Amino acid sequence: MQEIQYVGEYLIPGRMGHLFVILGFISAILAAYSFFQASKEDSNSASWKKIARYSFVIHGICIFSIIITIFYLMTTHHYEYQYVWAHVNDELPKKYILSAFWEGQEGSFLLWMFWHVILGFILIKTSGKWENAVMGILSLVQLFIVSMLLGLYFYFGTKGFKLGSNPFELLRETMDAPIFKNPNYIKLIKGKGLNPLLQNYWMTIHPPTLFLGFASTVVPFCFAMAGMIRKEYTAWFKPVLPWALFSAAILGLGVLMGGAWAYEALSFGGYWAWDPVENMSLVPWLIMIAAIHSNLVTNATGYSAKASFILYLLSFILVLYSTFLTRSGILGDTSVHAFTEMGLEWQLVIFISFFIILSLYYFIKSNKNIIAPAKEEKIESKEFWIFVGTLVLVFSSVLITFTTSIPVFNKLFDAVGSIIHQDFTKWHRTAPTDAVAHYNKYQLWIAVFIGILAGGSQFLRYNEFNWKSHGKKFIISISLALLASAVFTFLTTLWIKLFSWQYYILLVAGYFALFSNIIYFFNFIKRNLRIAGSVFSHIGFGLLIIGVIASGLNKRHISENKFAMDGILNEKDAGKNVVLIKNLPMFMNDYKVTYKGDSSYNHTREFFINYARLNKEGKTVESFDIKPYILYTQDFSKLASTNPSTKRYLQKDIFSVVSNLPKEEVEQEASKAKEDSLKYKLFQLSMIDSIVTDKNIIKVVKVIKNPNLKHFKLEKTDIPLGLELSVYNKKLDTTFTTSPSIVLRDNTVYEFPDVVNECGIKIKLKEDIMGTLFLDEKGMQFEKFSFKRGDSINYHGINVKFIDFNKNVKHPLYFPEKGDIAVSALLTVSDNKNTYHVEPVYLIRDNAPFNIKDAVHELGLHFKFSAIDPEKETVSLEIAKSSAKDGKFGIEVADNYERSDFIVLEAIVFPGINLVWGGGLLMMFGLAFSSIRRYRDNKKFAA
Amino acid sequence: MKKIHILGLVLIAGAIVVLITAAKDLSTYSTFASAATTDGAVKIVGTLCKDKEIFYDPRKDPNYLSFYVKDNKGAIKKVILKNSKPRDFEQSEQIVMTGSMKGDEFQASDMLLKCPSKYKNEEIYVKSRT
Repeated sequence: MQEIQYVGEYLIPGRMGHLFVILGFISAILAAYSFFQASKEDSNSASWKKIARYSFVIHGICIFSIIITIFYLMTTHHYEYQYVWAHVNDELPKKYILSAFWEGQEGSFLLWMFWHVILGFILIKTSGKWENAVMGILSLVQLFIVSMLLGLYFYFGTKGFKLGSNPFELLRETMDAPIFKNPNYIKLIKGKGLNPLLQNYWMTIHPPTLFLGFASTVVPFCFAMAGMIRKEYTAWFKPVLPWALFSAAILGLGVLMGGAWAYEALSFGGYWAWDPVENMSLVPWLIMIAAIHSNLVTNATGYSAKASFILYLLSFILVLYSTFLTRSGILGDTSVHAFTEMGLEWQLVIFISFFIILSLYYFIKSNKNIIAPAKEEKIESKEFWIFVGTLVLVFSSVLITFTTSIPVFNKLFDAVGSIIHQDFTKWHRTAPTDAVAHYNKYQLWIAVFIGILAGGSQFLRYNEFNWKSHGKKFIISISLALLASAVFTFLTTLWIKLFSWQYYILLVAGYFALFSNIIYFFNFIKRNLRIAGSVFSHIGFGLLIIGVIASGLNKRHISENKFAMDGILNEKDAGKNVVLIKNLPMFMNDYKVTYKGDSSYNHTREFFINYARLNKEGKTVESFDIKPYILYTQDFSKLASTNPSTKRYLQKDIFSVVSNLPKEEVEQEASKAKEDSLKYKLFQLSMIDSIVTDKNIIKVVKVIKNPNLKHFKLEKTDIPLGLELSVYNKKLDTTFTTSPSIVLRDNTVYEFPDVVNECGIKIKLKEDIMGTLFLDEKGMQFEKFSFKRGDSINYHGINVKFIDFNKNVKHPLYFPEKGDIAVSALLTVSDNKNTYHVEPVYLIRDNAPFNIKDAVHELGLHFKFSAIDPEKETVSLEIAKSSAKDGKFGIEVADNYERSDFIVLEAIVFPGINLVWGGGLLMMFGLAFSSIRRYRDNKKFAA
Repeated sequence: MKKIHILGLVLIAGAIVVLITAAKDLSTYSTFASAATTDGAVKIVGTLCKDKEIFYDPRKDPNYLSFYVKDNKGAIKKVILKNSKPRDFEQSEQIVMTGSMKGDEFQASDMLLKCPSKYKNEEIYVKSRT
């Protein structure tokens, strides 16, 4: 086949980018190797260290350059690159370029590596004697991640093997489409753009935070490994602590933000659904928290050193496992938001296996050297109960991971089955039928234990507990906390329902954590803020638990079917959604809810919904508007996403989302189908007579020169015209107005029909209205007459009388402009039966005379007011007769239009949700606070 | 033996017990035929019959969606979901439903759709020139 010479491809950045990938890979190998050589601390150590540092800096520069290159290609819309094509399009606002960058797997790998590089630079600066071993491990991790971008193909005989996926691949290399036969294909293609679901600010701030959280778990991992490599099994526990606290704070923040995103911007109707992807970002955090507590015990007493090693190693391994689950496509069946496959499953398996084996190897080798004090810890000591707490956290993680890993178990069964040639499909399992209930059932008790431990163990002491001197204070503090918890639990039940006894216990545990730590703060550490990090975090945990009970257990659909409230249907059958017809208020609980209208810009359509709370007298005591919106796809063919809007109160949120729309507003196809189903009838209408259909009577009210044409952009030469029509519905005995329009552009007519939803009617104007109303004088013979005020003439048997001038001109086709001098002639036109009024207009605009004719279409008479003689006080009127039909124009009316002025609304009240956010943030704040404190302590200690 | 070891053993034993009970929660994909003979909720995986009627008319009831699903064994049943119609429903490649049989109809309480990936089998948008 002949090679095609493509036109307009810009290949240099891609080649450079790929070069940076390969260089980044090689420099990572070099950095890892040299750091390990340096860590031997022999005579060559210093020079190896130099090489290693340079290599790592080069590696960092490569990563930055890859990122910059992709950004450059994205901002300049080089769609010849697959990655650019898949994530950007011309319409994508600049502010979403970042989101588009990390939407794909390659971009998110780069984000992850970016943070590793930054953390690496800080570690080179700050980690002192740990640098070589720590950076060696970090470089090793980096080389595995960069390998995900290599995009190299190996062939073993006929079998191909792909190593990494190059983000600089060309579109035509990844796809086989006929368009690539065209050398000019670049001019023809356009990008796919960012998934509309992801076009919001959460997609800008959540991934970098979460990935910094993921990335930072590598630091404790590196320290633990370094401890074993350097055979210094305890010294690393102090420098690692600020890092671990930092990691937990950021990762926790990332998880919280994920929840907030799901709650606020996506229409999931909640902040936590125990989705596999959510679970697998939570589990590394839980293990990191367990590790921090274990580390504190080790620092204080020397106990739990092995546990600290294992937990720090595990936290990072679980991040890798999480990466594997979300990126291998294995979760496809069970999660709503996993990445799509990249074909790198085996590479991910090798990645994770390598680090499991490496850490296991070192741990087994070091096991006997990690020594705990010979003496057993006392059961009433703080370390004992903290250890119990870490075990509970591990236990929680095991349970979550177990259920989340079902797809992995299935794959393992298959793998074993294929080895021993048996079909193990019957062993396959899937997520529990009610996954949320499944997780909650177990995690509830975990939370109870943690609540009690997070409170009670604060009152204990490391090593010993002297009952004689401290027993009384301990008992009093515990009792006080319990009493306060009981009282507040009771008070809380006045506000929310608890449904079952388990939740009473959970609520007490939450309050217990809260009050114990308040007592601890005032009575034990005597308001010393410097060491109050744990107080913040534990109070945060208590608040979070209370908030989860309030908002999760008591979340309530207020958009219920009203019959459910009357007891006609039981609650289970009550729908979650209601139909709201425009301007027809509906009562939902305490609120009168009205859908007031909508407006569109670009792909967004915003709905205005008013909530009004009424008192018993029916007076509005509170009123607010919410604006949920929807997004259409790039080509407007269908609805792409529905985005909620939330009214926030201190004690609750009201969450509203337009969950559905009339079919024809959701899909273009349905809209076409509906249009096709309409039975239009053509009627002849004039400015004065009415037409009568089966159900309605239609009459012209006035002509509209500047009709409101939603999406249509008028050009200068366009001639728009609209009619305001009154539609009287016989059944409803009500008159409505509607305004169909047309636009004439270069001999093409654009129709803008309008509807009256109440009457089920849709009306289209036909183009002949232009001819009729815009001064069509074809075939008319005007005769000129001179009139004085009060004169009348007989024109072909019809009496025409000039009554008076009228300076207050009102003519359907007269649209006043500044500087106009306009006057009309008031005429009466009478035949034997009827008298009509007409007023042709005489007009001076920009020093030139114009006239606007008027007509009695019934008689076929047309009148022009062509001149005034001020001296003689006479006017020149021209009269012509034409056939009556000339005054008529066609409109098409469909009487079978199903109303489309409604939305389907889902509204949920979340009580106490701010406790979730507040408590969660307080937890992370406490962690960050402690991180800074521990870092300062370490510095002081070193100095 | 140290207390901590006893505690550890107790916890491991506890963990095993809890995991075994938790494993009972895990379900298997059922079929319409076996759902008819089961009392509680089951999970069924199947595909949407695109040639049969998909009914959702919010004008009548915004919480009623009915459609036909072909399960793994090839049986076709009418399914009713008492909720709003999910987006891209017609494009779904696979449907995982939780619910139970009521007479000859499957009443779904929950539904997970697997939709065609954004990255696969997609035609290239060609610029529309105006």
